[in-house]
Amino acid sequence: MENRFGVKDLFLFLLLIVLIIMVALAMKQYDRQYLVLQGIKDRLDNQMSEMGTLHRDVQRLQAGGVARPAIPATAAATQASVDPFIYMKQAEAMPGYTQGDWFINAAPNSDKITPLLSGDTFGYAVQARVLDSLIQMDEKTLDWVPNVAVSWQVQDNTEAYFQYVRARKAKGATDEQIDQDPNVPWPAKVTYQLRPDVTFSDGQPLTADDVVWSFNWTMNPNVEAPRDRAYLNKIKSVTANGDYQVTFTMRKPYFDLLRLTGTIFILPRHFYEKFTPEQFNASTGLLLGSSAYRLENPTGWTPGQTVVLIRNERYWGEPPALDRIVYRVIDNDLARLTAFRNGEIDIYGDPTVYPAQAEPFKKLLGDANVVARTQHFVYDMPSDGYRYIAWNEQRGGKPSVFADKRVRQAMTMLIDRERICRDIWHGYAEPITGPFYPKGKQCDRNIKPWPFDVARAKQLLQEAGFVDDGSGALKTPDGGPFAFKLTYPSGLANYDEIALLLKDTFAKAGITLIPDPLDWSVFSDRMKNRNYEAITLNWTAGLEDDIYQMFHSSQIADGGDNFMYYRNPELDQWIEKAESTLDESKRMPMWWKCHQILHEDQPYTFMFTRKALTFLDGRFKNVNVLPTGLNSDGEWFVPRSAQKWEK
Amino acid sequence: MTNYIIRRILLMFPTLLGMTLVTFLIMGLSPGGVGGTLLNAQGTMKAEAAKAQREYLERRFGLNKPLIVQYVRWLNEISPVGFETGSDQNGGTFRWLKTPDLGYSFSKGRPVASMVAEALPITLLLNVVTLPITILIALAAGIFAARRKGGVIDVASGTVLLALWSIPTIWAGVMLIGFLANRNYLYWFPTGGLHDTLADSMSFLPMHGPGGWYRGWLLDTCWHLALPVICLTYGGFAFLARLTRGAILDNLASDYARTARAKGLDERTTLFRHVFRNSLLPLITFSAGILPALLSGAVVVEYIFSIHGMGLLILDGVRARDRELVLDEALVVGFVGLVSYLLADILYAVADPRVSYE
Repeated sequence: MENRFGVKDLFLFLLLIVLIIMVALAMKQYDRQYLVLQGIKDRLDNQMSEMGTLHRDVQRLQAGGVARPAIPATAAATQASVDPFIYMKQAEAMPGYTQGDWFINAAPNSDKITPLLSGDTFGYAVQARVLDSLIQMDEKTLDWVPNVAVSWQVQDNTEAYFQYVRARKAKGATDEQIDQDPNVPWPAKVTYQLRPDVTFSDGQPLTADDVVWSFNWTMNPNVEAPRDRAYLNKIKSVTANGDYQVTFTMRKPYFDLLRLTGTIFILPRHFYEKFTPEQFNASTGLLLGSSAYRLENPTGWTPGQTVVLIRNERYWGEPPALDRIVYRVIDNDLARLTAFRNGEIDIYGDPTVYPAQAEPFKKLLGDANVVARTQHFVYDMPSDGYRYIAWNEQRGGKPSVFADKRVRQAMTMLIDRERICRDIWHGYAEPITGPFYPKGKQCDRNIKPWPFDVARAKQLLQEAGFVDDGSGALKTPDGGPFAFKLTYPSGLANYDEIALLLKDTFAKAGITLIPDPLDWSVFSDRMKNRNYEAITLNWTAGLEDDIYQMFHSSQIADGGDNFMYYRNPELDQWIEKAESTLDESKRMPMWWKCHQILHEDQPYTFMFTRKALTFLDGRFKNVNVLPTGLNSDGEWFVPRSAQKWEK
Repeated sequence: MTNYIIRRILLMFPTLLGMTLVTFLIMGLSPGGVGGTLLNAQGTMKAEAAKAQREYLERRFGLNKPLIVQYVRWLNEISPVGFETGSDQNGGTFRWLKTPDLGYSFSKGRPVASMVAEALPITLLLNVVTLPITILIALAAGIFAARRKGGVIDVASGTVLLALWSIPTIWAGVMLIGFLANRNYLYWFPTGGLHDTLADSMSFLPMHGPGGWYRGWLLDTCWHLALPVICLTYGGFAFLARLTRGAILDNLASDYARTARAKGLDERTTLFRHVFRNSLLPLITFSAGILPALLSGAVVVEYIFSIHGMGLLILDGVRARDRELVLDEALVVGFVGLVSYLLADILYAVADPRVSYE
């Protein structure tokens, strides 16, 4: 009985547990203090070095003045007259404009925000606020305007390049040999003149060397950036001429060379150079730049943490009104919706981070409380891309029923795209006619979409040899019933509804459509092996897009993305031509030609493009819908009386 | 006893090997195979970029190699004896002692060890809070019901506990968020996460300042933990309470309890001095059994409340068919499971002298 566990022991035991908990909490608290102290120390160090620079500058001034490097005039200096901050200045002139307040957004859990490594749109959205590029696109005119570069000059040498290539080919050289040939003349060069007054958020100046280094770092095969390398491959070299001029030399003629060269994020060499490629690859949140916002700790972010972007006080451009942009990690859509209703986040449906679905958007519209204190927008978003159905033209080495253009046209005419947009997407979608953004310059707007016309479709099918024997089921030219599987990824919004609706309309024409939802890994495997009859999915897109990867016949081989075995030599030629034409006024008609061919051939049935849907807290002013989406949040502001978060 | 323990520990190795091999084969042989979802974000990547990414990952991580080669490579990675290899996993020199490495997750682009190090403390925090609450409520409710066996309270509590036990967590979680964390109803708790937006600038303890009370970091964390902990506990205590009630009733009817009463002890003393201790045996087994389940995390709760612990990590790994992530998690969860079963067996012998393994 003596070793019985008594009340006294229990008390001592509980005391011990309480003690352990207290020690654990104290440790946690010391840890928090340590982090705060570290932050203060970093800032002090930073200020000390800043003071040192100032001190030296003052001494130099006393010794006889400091020469600021002037912005030199170049041949193409016309761009210097364009003010990239014109819209922000207009906002500043508005009544009620004040700086201050925070913008609280939600984000899905992201693995990385380190540039080059992060693969999701959220990482890109964060980087775009921290890192600068040489040029940027004007939101309204869609022209390129200065950013870090004040002016630029394009040297077009495509004629000489093609002459040389043709001459070599005439002598029997292959494409590969020409690629290896060091004597090939360069097809194009772009030279950017940089601003001399840009510094990174740690006070170090941004020079041409940083631009060159950013490019070389991306091309380093040990850096985990295969996606960016696939794009930048078209650039042969980047060289600095002095501190504030940089020249990009192209490897091949490419139409979109300003976007390709001018929108590369400029990474600070002194900051990233400290890391080996392996350390860089394994990092999660290495982010330091020269743009309007910065991370408080440029090395410390880890997945699951809130991303807090604070205003970069050293920013060289026009300061944005909002003090902070905060991304809280909220994974599931229901929680985001509730958080928005509660006012915990300021936006529901950020198309660059997580697009809103039509159903919850409708629901929010029905809630008078929410509508009264918020604003909402329905707008076009080129980056969202489009939905398509791809018809596999080859099965088991033989042409399939879809190899006949008339059959594909008939399939398109059996699909009531208007109704899908109206009933399934609640009107927040639009039928499209081709792979290009319908409101962009690349799209041929004279093309009329194929109508929903069952009779005409039936007639086309009959012309193609299909037999309607009156039994209600259509017979293929081989004599079997016309039935096919429509493969799509399971578990994604609305794919099921669309498949069922299509099944219905196809049945009216005597065609059996079998919905075939597959788990994503199985689905992508089938797509890679071309083991399907018809497949439906989404492509993302841009304002001007290259369609080489999806429709050029060279991409049928080696598991390329022409996974429906579509071949049209005429289209191949037009794509190649458009890709290598730098002059926009000549290039656009070539894209229109491509568009016309694709419309006629229907390798895909181009289904629809969705609208972006956004609910935003009512306190933000100067939020406008533009051709490319909402205007940048750099132009938004919150009047003093409505501000929610103090400094 | 020592013999027995050594034997059990030695048996662990083939068991773990078998577990990971079966896990790997299920993943590798199913359609899509290892890394079936390399195309990120449900195919919403530009065609060109997606292709480059796929090719790079296949080359770097050897995803196109035969399954058995991939598995043996992983074994070599985690084993303290084997070949020291570079990042491309090729070649290398043989070492009798090297640092075991959990490897590099290709879907997340990070070492698995660092991800586990991030997720584990969060899961542990949830469990450290959940487990005592579950056990305390279960004991109290079980004893209470057992003492009034057959009474109105017993029947009522039995019904309520059964009802609680059968409510799916996913439904309860959504309801709790929908009603207790919603401005339109009761806005008592936050919707998700572990900390407030402003948590980093908060004081540690609650304090009074200009403009009223500030809850401070500690209270803020508790506040965020409230709903997830409710979701995690109710199912557990409902089950445990019934278990405790049954055990106590069994023991109350046993011979030694009758003897205790016969020697003049009152019902209360009989219950707490004699019966209670013996009724803890099934609780020990149960607690050992739920340890691995706790470690693998409450996937549903973590998902609903946006808490990034082990559960979501495992889910991510399985979704992406990430070889290293899935295998390492199978290894960790399997290891903890085997150790806790061993612990339960040893505790049994300690608590009950009649059990012996010699």
